[in-house]
Order: sequence, then structure tokens, then C-alpha cells
Amino acid sequence: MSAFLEVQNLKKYFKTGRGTLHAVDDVSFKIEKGTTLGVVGESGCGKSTLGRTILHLLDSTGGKIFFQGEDITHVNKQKLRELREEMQIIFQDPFSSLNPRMSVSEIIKEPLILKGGMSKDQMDEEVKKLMDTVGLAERLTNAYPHELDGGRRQRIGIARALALNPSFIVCDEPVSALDVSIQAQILNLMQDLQEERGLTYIFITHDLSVVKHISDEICVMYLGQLVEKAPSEELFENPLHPYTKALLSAIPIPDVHNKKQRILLKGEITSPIDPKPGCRFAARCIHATEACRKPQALEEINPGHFVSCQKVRELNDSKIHKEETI
Amino acid sequence: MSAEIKKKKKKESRFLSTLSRLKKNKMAMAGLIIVCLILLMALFAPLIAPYGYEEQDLAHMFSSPSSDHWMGTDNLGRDIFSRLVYGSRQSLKIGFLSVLMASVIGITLGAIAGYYGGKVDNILMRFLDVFQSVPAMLMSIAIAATLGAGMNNAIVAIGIGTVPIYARMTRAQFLSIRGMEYVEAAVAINAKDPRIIAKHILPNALSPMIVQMTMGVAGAILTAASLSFIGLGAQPPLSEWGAMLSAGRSYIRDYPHLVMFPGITIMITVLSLNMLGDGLRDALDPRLKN
Repeated sequence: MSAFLEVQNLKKYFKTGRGTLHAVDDVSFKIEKGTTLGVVGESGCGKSTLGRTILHLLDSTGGKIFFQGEDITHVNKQKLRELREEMQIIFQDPFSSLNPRMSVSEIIKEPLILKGGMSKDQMDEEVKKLMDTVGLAERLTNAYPHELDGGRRQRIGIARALALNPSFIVCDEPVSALDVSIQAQILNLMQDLQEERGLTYIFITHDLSVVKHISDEICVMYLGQLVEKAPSEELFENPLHPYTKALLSAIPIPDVHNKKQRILLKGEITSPIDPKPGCRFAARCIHATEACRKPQALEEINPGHFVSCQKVRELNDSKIHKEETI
Repeated sequence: MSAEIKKKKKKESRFLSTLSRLKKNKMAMAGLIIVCLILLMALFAPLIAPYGYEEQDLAHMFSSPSSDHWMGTDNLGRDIFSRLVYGSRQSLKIGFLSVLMASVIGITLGAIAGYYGGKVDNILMRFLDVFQSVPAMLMSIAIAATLGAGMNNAIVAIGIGTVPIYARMTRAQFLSIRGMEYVEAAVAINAKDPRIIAKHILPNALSPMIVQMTMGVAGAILTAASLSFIGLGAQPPLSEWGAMLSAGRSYIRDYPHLVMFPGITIMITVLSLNMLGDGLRDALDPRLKN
């Protein structure tokens, strides 16, 4: 049984004036149907590019994408149209993702018009249903996006994505631009929709608490590469890659007595333009040695827990060792 | 049946809501009224004008405004008011048609260049660079001279001469809007390029264009005046505001009314068009709806 979506060694390079920018470099993962894969990493690490490349909004430079067992890396126009009805995207900024000249109903109706095969009344009925599904009041039908708050706008974006009844949705930081209280509402809505419709999500975010809340599995990206991949619980309890550890140590804990040791990363993020082979985190890693300059591979350390770090076993042993001596 | 009525109502209401927003803008309404009056004047010129545009009264050359000749007569004894009324036909025709031509060609070129980018963009823009390296006035003269004198050729000349302005403006707008996420969303829901251009980018790119177009009408009237001056625009005895202005220029010291009245007419037309354009831009933008 093949996975619902599988990505093998996916690469997306951009040619820039200063060299080739490796936005996504050799990323592989699988997602099972009805689950959520969280993708975390700091800005500019290629999370969004990864999502857009899978959706063919950007052409991939290399690697393969399988959707429901079928190779969809290179598809013709007809196939692409069909695929896009299955795969949708929800954008980060609900202010720039909605055309300011179109009313709410026009925005939600557009995918239906483009798909065709529906009478106008059927479409209106469908729009009404979709608005109800995402929790938009019917009186907003003729409202314009600028009249609504961020949460409502994001609901419009979700309704538009759902209109074609897709089975797979890339959520590109869908709650980053929202207030915390509204974030929770939108996240709950997305989880409800996932349960009702059996949706599969790739959830891209830099917000660790959000990703913990919603994901079944989490990928950590650094400069276009996957550095760690593990089930959600496992990753938060037992982060293995030095970068993941630093990332998780940055989560604030609301407790004055709990003084957690934060791992502060030194130095700037290295350039993604023509990167050197080897671990891209090495320049900022406190454990880095000469061995880290060689190309790294994802290794399964615990069942389902993959890490791309040569020193991970060694570091882990020393950690266990330390705990024993204390 | 009822649904059909409802839909009609909705479409109508959109037009009405734009109109009602326009109505609230006093400046725009004033502009609209004046523009309408000028249009009516052009339409009913023979009924309004007391004399023919080529009718000479050689006994009363250079006469100052009087009850016989409301705005006086020119160097050939023709009634200036009548000539202004008839001239509105030529001037408005030149103004509107040349802008229409320039904006249709310019917006199309700009949209293609801005949306597709890359080589297409480069070729089109370099072509326009060459085009723009010749001053617009000189370009219009060259085109008009090649095509031959006459009103229609003047319209074509002015239209082509101003294409680069619209093309560049559209391209710049398209470049910034193309990167918006709603355009990407349209791609993701299978919208084809023409639809994305027409439905998602163009409506959002149009605001500065509307203002440019209303100002373009004014500019075209003035350029037409220059063309007439060197004999490439409206051919005498056909009257045209710009031509009247330049013809009267030599007598400006002794008989200022020869240039004053055409000048004032052009100014009022341009001003009212600008006010209307400004208001129209705001009224068409749902974000400013209140």
C-alpha cells in the first residue's frame, strides 16, 4: 500500500544573480491519508516553497512527487487541472490572498465556475453550504473582504479551498497572521473539517505550539533541508537534532520558577545560495566537528524518528550518560 | 424566475452603488455635469451656435465681445462663440478617441509584458524604450506627417504617441499585483491566464489608469492644438479649440479675446474631466465604500 502523498528527494532551486538558491534541497517524506504533517522552520528555510512545489505552483528542479501512488512530478495540462481539484492551498496572509474587488460569494464561487457543470442556482446553493461549513454568516454574502476581520477572511480562504472538494490541502502558515484567540478558532475549524472530510494536511508554520496542536508528524527544516522528522509527541519529548533542540528550547514556559536552559544559537543563518556540501547547520552548531562537513543523510534513530546528523548517536549517548552521573 | 430577478437586481445594485458613491462626491458630480454639458453642446452645435463656423463678417474683424458676437470675432471676422461650439466636436473627438486608442493598445501591451515577464517583457519594453527616446510631440508630428494631414490621422498620431505611457503604467501595476497571493490562489483553482489578467489583476490595476486617461484627454486636446498649428491637425476652415488657440496667438497683445475664450474652454473641459476621473477612481474601489 503506497502512501497518500510521497515526496522523494524533491529539489527546488532558483537561479539568482549571485548563484543558485537552494530553496528546497533533497527533501523526502510520506503522508498517510487523513493525517497532518507539520513543517516547521525559521523564515526563509523553504517551507512555503516546498508546499508550492508539491502543488505545482512552482516547477520542481528535481526529485519525484507521488500522489495516491501515481507519479505526478511531470504532468500535462489536463492532468494538472484534475490534480488541482484534489490539491488546494490556504494562504498565510488573509489580506493579500483575497481579491479586494470581489465579494465573498464571488470569491467562493470562482472555483465552481472554473470547474463548470453547475447551474447558477446550484452554485449559489453550494456557496451557501460552504459558507455555512466554515462558519460565515449568510449576511456576509455580498460583503467585500476589506469589511471583514482577519479570522473571517481566513474562513473565506478556507471555503475557497474547500469548494472543489479536495482531499489534500497545503496550509501555508494559515494562522500566523491572526490573533491568538482567532488562531484557536481557525485551527479547530480546520481540525473539524479534517475529521468530517478525511482531509490530509501539510501544515507549514514557524509557530511551534500551533504545530504541536495540529500535527501527527512533524518535519523540521533548516535551509531547504529536512533535519529531523518524527511523530509529534516524540519530537517534542525527545528532540535529537541540535537545531530542533535549540528551536524547542525557545518555546516560552509560563512559569516563573521553571527557568529553562535556552540554547542560544550564535552567528547568522548561512546563505542558501550555492551552499557547501555537508550539514548546513554546522556553522552554528556547538557540536560541529570536521565530520559535519560531509553530506548528511536522514537516519532512523528510533522507530519513525529520522534525524540528519552524524553526531546524533554520540550526542544522545553523552546526554544519557550525563543524566546517569547526576 | 425569481432567482433571475434577484440576480439582475444584484448586478444593478452594483452599478447603483458605484453611482451613489459618485453622487456623494460633489467635485466629481460637478465634473460630470460640466462634461455632460460640453457633450450636449457638441451634439447640438448647429442649434446653439448663432453663426456658422466658417461664416465671415469682414466688416467686424477683431471685434470685442458684444451682444452680436458674444465672444467677439477673430482675424477673419468669424464668430468665436460659434467656432468654439462647433470646435467642441473636433476637440472631444480627438481627445476621447486618441486616449481610447492609446489605452487599449497600451494596456494590452503592458499587461502582456507585466504578466508574462521574461523575454516577452524585455522585447516589448526595449521596443517602447526606442519609441520613447523620441519626444512624444515629435513622434506625433512624424506620424501625422507620414499619414498626411487631417483629423483622423491626427487622432492616430496622438494615440500611438502616447501608447508607452499606458503600457509602462500597466506593466508596473501588473508586476506588483502578479505577486499577490490572490493571483496564486487563482492559479491553484485552475483559472486560465486571460481570466487571471482580466478578472484578478486588471480591476486592481485600473485606478491610476483612470486618472491618467482623464488627464490624457486633456493632453490630447493640447497636442492636437500643436498639430493644427503646424497644419497637420484639423484643416481650416474646420474649427478646433487648439487650432483657434494657436491661430489667435499672433494677436494676443491687441486682441486677447482671441485666445482667452478657447483657453478658458479647454481649461474648463480639462478640469471637469480630471474631477470626474478622480471621483470615478474612488467610486469604483469597493474598499472606499461607505
